[in-house]
Amino acid sequence: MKVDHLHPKPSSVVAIEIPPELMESVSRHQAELAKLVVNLQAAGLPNDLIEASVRTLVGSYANELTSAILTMKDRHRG
Amino acid sequence: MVDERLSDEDARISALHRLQVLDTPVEAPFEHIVTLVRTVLKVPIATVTLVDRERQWFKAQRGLDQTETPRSISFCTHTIQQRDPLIVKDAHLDARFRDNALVVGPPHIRSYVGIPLQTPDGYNIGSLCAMDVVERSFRPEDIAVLTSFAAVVCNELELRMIANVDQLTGALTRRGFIEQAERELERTRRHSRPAALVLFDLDHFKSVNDTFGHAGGDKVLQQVGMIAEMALRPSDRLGRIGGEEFALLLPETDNDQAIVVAERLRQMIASNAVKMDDARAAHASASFGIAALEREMGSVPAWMAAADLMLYQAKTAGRNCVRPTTVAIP
Repeated sequence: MKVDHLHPKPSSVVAIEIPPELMESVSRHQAELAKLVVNLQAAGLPNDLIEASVRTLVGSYANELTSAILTMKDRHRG
Repeated sequence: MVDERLSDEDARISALHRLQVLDTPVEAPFEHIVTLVRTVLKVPIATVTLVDRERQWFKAQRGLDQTETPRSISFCTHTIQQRDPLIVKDAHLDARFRDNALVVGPPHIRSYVGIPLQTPDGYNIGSLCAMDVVERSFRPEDIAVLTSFAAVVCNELELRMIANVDQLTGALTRRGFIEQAERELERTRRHSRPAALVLFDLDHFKSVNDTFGHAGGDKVLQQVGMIAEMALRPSDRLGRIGGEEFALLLPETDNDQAIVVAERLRQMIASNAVKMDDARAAHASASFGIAALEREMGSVPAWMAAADLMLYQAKTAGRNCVRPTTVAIP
């Protein structure tokens, strides 16, 4: 899985492969976002605000994820 | 059933410090979350709060003009003592908070909801909070939304940690360690407190790898990580800064105390043979160089260079020993 395969697709990220050490975090994040959408709907928020919120969260997570992957790659290069 | 992790303060502080997030600069994910909390719950104040030993520090906040407060006036210090959200409908009617400085004075908190931020190993290191200046009943739907946001915060914190921690030994990576040392140097400057940096290197590690293979070498490195975890205080940090080279950051520690810590670790490494899968045992030892700060210091590289010089002296003195120095660069 690559960073640009996150859902919803982040707007500006590099399509780099996600290492196995980070896959659990990615799966959990995606599951939490799905729950958040359900909870925001239950709280009566309008769909456009829900969509904007989730896009914001996935965008910043994708950036952090990319940074983490690059840090780990640096480490492996030694 | 008693949840011991809610009352083990030293372990909780260790878990918080492992995240390496205290006193770090503003970061977008947390900023976005407090902004969303404020928008979605329609509250004037939202914070990602981390509860340190004597203070609460805001990783992100909206509606406050402080970066930290004493822990004694923190709502969140109550939140972290439970697994469920803490909900305060009216602080004026709650004996715990009605005389609180944040209630009777600015920002005049009247209602509060905090969701504990839990680490993967079960410690509550802070909370995601929404606060209002009027009495308010938070709906179950609001609590559910805030709980979801809190889970995202926890995930972001864990992601930072995975990137900064060496998976084999549990020590900080070189980059993570240097970032931590830079923060400690800054703190030392601000408060004129002592601190020590220790570099240590496993002796003849190549021969361990040659004899037991790289898997055997990894076992030795793992054991060093475990021994350090047992021997160090919650506020101390271990970094793996090279293949078999480690570093220790010891806040609030002078030269004599650093010698005691390093000597204890040296003895534990030397006296605990590493058992291999084929029942053989590897005997390891390490050499230690210490650079204690008694006044402010120029930079982390200079601090590490001073410790490295002492490590070199320990190696040339026959290995498996400790060599200290005190550094006072104006």
